[in-house]
Amino acid sequence: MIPHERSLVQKLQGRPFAFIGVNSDPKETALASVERNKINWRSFWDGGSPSGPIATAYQVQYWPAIYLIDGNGIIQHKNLRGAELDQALDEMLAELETTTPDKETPPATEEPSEKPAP
Amino acid sequence: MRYSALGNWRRWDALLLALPPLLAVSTLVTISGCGDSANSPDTTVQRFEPADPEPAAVDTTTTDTTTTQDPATTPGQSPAAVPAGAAAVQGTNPPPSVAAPQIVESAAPAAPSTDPAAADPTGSQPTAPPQPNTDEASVEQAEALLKTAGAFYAKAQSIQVDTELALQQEVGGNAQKMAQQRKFALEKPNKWVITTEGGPSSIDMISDGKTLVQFNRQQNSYLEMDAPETLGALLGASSQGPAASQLLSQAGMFFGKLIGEDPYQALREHATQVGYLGQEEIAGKKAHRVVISSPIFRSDFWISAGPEPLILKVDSDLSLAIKTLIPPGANQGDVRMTVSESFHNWRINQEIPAETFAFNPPPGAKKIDPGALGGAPPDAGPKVGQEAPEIDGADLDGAPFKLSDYRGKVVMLTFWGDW
Repeated sequence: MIPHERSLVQKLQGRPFAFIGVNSDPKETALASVERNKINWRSFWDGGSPSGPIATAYQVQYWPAIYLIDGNGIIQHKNLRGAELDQALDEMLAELETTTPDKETPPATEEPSEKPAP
Repeated sequence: MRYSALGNWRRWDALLLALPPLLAVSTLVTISGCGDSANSPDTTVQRFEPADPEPAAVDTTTTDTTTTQDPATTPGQSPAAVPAGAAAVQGTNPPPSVAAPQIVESAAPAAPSTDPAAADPTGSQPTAPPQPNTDEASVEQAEALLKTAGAFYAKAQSIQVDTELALQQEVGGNAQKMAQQRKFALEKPNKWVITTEGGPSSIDMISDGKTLVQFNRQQNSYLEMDAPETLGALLGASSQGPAASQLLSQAGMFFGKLIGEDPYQALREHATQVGYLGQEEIAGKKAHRVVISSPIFRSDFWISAGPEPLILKVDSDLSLAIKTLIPPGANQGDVRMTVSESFHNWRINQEIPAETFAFNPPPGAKKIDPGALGGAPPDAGPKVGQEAPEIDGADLDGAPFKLSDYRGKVVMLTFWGDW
C-alpha cells in the first residue's frame, strides 16, 4: 500500500488535496514506520490500538480503510482501491478546482477504466 | 455506467478484503451465508501482513515459499503456477509455459472449454508443477484415493489435527503473505474447538454443542451465539459461485471439507479434472499425490499411503479464481493467490475430554453484543453522503490538529498501520 500512497501524495502536490492518515500502531512502531517507509503525510495517532477512538468512531473493520471527503467535509467515497480510487480522486479534485475560481484547471478527462497497476 | 462497474468492483474488493479475515475462523461465520456479507463487519479487528522484503516465518514445509522476491516480477515463484491449472484442464502433456499475465488474461473466463490456443507457450517456466496423466488409470486412481479418504473422514466421529497454513496473495503489485497455525478438535456433530495463531488475528472458536463462542485473544473479547447443528453446516455452507466458493473453502477452511456428510464430494467440489501423480514423501511420510483442477484453480492433495488415508498437505493455486471475480474495468494487473496447508498430528476417534469444549472467559474479557455478528450492515461506519465525523486529535509528533482544518480540500482519510 504505502509506495502507492506516497506517490499519490507527491503527484497531487500543489492541488487542493490532503492525505490524512490515522495510525493505530503503538507510537514507537508508528514513528519507526514513518521513518522506514518515508511517509510523507500527516497522521492522527489513534492511541496505539486498532480499537482506538478514531477507528471506533469510523467503525473500521479492515486496514487500510479509506474515506474520500470533499471540500465541505462530506464523505464521497469509501474504501475504493486502485484505478477506481484514482479516478474518484481526479473527479473530486476537478470538481473542486472548477468551483474555485482562482485555481483554474482543465476539467478532468475520463480516465481509461483499465489502468496499469501502480 | 460508472456506477455499476463500481458495484462489481466493490464486490470483488470486499472479497479480497475479506480473505485475510477469512483465515481467522471468526469471519467465516458471517461469510458463509451470503455473498454480499463478505464485507460484513466483525467485531474483531483484522490485519493482514504484507509480504515483507525480509524473510518472514512462513510455513517451512512448502517448497514454493519465496520470501525475498517480488512475486510480480517472478512468474515462476510457485510450483502451482497459474498456467498449470489451465493446462491440466485441457489434458495436455507438459504444461505449456506461459508468462503468467497472459495466461491469466486468456483463461479468465470460467468456462471448461478453454481455447487451446490461449495456452500457447510464450516463455519458459521451470518451476511449473508436474501434470498428472489424464488417462483412465490415473483418473481412476485419483478418484479411488479421494473416495477412500472421503469415506474415512465421513466415518470418523472425532477428529483432531494441527495445521500450518501459508498464504500468498498479490493484487496489482501489492503482495501480502501470512502464516498461521491452526488446531482443530471436532466431536461430531457440533462440539468443536478451532484455534488460530498468527496472521491477521488470533481467534478461537469453541462450541460445546449448545453455544458457539468466538474469542478474540488479542482484544480479549468474545461473542456468543447458538451453536449450529453441525460444524460442517457452518463451514461448508456457501451460496457463492464456484470461484468465490473455491476461495472460501480453500483459503478459508480446508478442514471444513473433511467434516461434512460427504467429504469425497466436498474434496472434489468444482473440479473438472482429477489425476494421480504417484507417491511422494511429505514430512517423512509416504503420500499419494492427487491433483484436482478446473479452469480456475488447481489443488494438489497429498494423501497418506499409510493405513489411514489422512490428508497430509494441500497446495492450491487460486489466482484464476480471484481473477475471474474482477470485472475487466477494475483490472489491477497481476493477481495471484496460493495457499499451502500442512496437516500434522492427526488423531481420529480419540476421546476428547468434555472440558476441551468449555469456554471460560479469561479475566477482564468483554462480551460483545451478538447482534454485531451478521446483523450489522456490511457498510459499517459513517456512510457516503454523510459528513465525516470530526477528528480532534494529535499527530504522531503530538501536535494537535483537526480533520476540519482541511475543509476546502479533498481529503483522503486513510486508516493505516505498519503491516
